[in-house]
Amino acid sequence: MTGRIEGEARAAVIRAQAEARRLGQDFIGCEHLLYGLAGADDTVGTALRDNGVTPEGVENQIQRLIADNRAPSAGPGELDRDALAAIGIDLDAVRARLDDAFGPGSLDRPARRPRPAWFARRPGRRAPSGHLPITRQARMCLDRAVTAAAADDPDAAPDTTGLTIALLDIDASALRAVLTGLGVSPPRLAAEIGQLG
Amino acid sequence: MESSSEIAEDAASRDPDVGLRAVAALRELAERLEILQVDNARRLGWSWQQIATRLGVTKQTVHRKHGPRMRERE
Repeated sequence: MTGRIEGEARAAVIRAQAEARRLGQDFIGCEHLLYGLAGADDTVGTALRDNGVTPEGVENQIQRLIADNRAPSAGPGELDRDALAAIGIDLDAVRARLDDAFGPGSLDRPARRPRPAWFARRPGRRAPSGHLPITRQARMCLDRAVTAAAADDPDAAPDTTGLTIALLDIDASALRAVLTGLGVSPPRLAAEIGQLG
Repeated sequence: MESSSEIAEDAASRDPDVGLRAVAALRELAERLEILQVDNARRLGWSWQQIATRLGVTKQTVHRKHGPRMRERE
C-alpha cells in the first residue's frame, strides 16, 4: 500500500530513513518522517521551515531525546543520594549506622549484580543496514495518507501535504516531544498546511 | 529556609524522573545491604536455609546468588 507514495513525498520518506540511520537508530519513526518532510523542496517544506520545523531543528530535538534516554541518574553501582532523599531516606544516616556495625566503607562496595543473559545480548549497537523497520505509528501515518489521497481519486498517490497532515495528527510520543521542543502547535500547523493546496 | 531534602521532596511528589531514580537507588541500596547481611550471617555460622527464610526466598536462590562470592573469598 505504501509503495504508492511518489515524488517529493517519496523523497521525504527516503530522507527519513537516511536520517534515522545517520543517527544510529534502527527504526523509522514519525520524528524521522517529520525530518524528511521538513527538507521537502516544495511549498509544504517551505511552510514547515517558516514555522520553525527545519531539518536541523528536528535533528537537534531527536538528538536531545536520544541523549535523554541514555543518561542514567547515577551510573550502575552508584547510590543516588538526592533520589533517596526524595523518598525520605537519609543515605548519610544509613551509611553511619552501617559503618558502626560493619566497619568504615561497608556501604561503598558496589553490589555487582550478574546481568541476565538477555540483557547482555541486546543487539542495540549493530550498524543498521538495508531497509529499516518502520514504527507502528509511522506506518499508520503513511497508510492514512494513502487512504486520504485515494478517497478523492482512486489513482492518486499522497503528496507532501497529505503526508504532513496525517503526520501532525498522529499521537507518537517522540514526534510530540520534537514538535513541543520546536514550539509548534500541531493542529495550527496542520490547518496552515491544509490551506496551501 | 528549606533544606535540600525538603526541596527534593517537593520535586518528588509527581516527577517521574526523581521517583524512578529513587526506585533504582533503593534497589542498589537493598542489594548492598543484602550482601553485608548475608556475609555477616554466614560468618556467624548461619545456614543458607536460615538466611533464605529471613529474606523470604528459597535456599537455592540465596545460594546461587551469594555462594560464588563466598567461595571467592575462601
